Amino acid sequence: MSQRVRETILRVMMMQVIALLVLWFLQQRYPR
Amino acid sequence: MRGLDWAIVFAYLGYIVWDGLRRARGTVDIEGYFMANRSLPWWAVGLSVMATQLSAITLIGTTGQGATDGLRFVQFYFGLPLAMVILGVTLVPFLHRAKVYTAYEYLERRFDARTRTLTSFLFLLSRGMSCGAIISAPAVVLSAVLGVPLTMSVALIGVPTVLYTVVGGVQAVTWADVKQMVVIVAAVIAMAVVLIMRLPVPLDDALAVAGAAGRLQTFDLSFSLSNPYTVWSGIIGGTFLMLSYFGTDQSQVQRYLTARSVDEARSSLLMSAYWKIPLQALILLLGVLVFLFYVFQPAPLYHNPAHERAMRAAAPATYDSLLTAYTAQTAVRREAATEIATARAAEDTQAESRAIEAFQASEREAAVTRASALAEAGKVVSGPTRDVNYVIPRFVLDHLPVGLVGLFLAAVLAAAMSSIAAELNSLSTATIVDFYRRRVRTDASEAHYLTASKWSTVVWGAFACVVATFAATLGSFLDVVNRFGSFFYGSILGVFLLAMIPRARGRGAFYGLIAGMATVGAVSLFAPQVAFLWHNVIGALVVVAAGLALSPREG
Repeated sequence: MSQRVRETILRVMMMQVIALLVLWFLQQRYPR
Repeated sequence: MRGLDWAIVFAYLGYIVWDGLRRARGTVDIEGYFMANRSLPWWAVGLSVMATQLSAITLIGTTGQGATDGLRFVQFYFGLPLAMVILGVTLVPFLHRAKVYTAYEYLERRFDARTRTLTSFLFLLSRGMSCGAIISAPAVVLSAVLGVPLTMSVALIGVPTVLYTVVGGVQAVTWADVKQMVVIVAAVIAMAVVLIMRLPVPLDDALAVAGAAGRLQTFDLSFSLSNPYTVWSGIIGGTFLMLSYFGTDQSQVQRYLTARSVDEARSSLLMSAYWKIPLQALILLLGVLVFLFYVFQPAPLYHNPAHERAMRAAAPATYDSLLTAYTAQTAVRREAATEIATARAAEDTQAESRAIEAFQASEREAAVTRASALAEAGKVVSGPTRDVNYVIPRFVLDHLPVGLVGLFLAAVLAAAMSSIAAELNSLSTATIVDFYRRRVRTDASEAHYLTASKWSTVVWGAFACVVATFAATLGSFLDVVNRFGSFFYGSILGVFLLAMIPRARGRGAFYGLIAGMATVGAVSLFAPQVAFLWHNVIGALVVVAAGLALSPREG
């Protein structure tokens, strides 16, 4: 596996963390 | 629909078909027709992977689900990024380096011919039928909201797709996918912007209203085997589902087999992993914005115009009383929502709590009225009346400005066409490579196989259009086929997992596959409360266990 692919995997995981944090923020800020 | 909207739709259709037809140049053999000579860049393949997965019913059904249910559906995709990383590290290098045409061809090299034939046959059976369903679902909705006959909407989707897929092969399919993905994302963003601009209160306050209605609750941490929309179902069941779909379904495997190299194939899957959850959340958020639009504007009792017509004609008194109740309840809901915004602006927390309670009470009452209205419509039209797929198309036609309506319709067609084209192309590949060239004509010329491949695509396209046209009559039969499909999805993944275990042998793979399918069938029959997402986990694990048990130990 090339260095480029390893870096891409890291970027993918960071994006998921950011997306989940945004969704968590929406749920906490605007509760039922 | 006005002239400009139709002009946008036909300009889109004309461009996609013209661009697809010109891709036929230089294709002289099936390596070019099915594999694009393994020459495509990662970003085009990545967009093609995303466009193939995003069908029209994802676009209109998921936005509708956002409006009626909120963001929680996104949990379904939590396993996708993980599955893509696992596939990128494990299966993709195996398949790409093997220079195979189909995923099932690899199974013959690893195990035996009967395992290849059985898995490829199961793929043809399930995808052949589902291809009809993915045309019919948007065709039925378009036919109802545009007031055109079903055959016309099937033709509008099916004919151009079949044309460019037959003539241009995988090159046409992939490059059309790239453009279709751009059209879809542009339409979603444009609609979100228009909806935000039309909110009568600040966005922050509108989101507080959506939150009060439970539309922004994403995470459900409870553990339930019967609920597919929880964090655990998404991460565990979703990972297995996505591993099965992207790792063993030829309609997806073929996308990344066309990439230039193993690294580019991996990157294409990782691109999809990167964007899937944000894109899916955006699509659901669009639905939430439509919900908010109807909180502040008069909301229709029925989203499907056919239900409204049927009720007015057959039960006008019931219709009138339901409509009066719903109008009154939604008026109270509107007033309470405005009160929430006013209280927030005045930073009056007590008034805000009171307004939220009033809003939630009227929201519950309106939901009960709509449920009974749908039940009444069910008696009149004597069929299922779930109208979640009609929420967005109806909203677009009633409320969006001219031009944007055409863009939305082009996006629905793009979403449908991109999925169908990839499926027709892969159905034809499996038919020719796994059956015709392997068993019927083993020594014909490349020109012969190329012609046969084009005819095979024509036949599958015609079959899909016919199934789509008669989908209403075939309804329960299609349900059976789809349920049957879920029996072997995870089981086929199990065979590919076995392929990576050196000790596994052909006998174990073949009988393991049958044992996996039988177990899932039994679970579906005797424990129907287990959600389908878990079927893939069960199937894959049984195949691996049975496959290893049936593979003779050596030495």
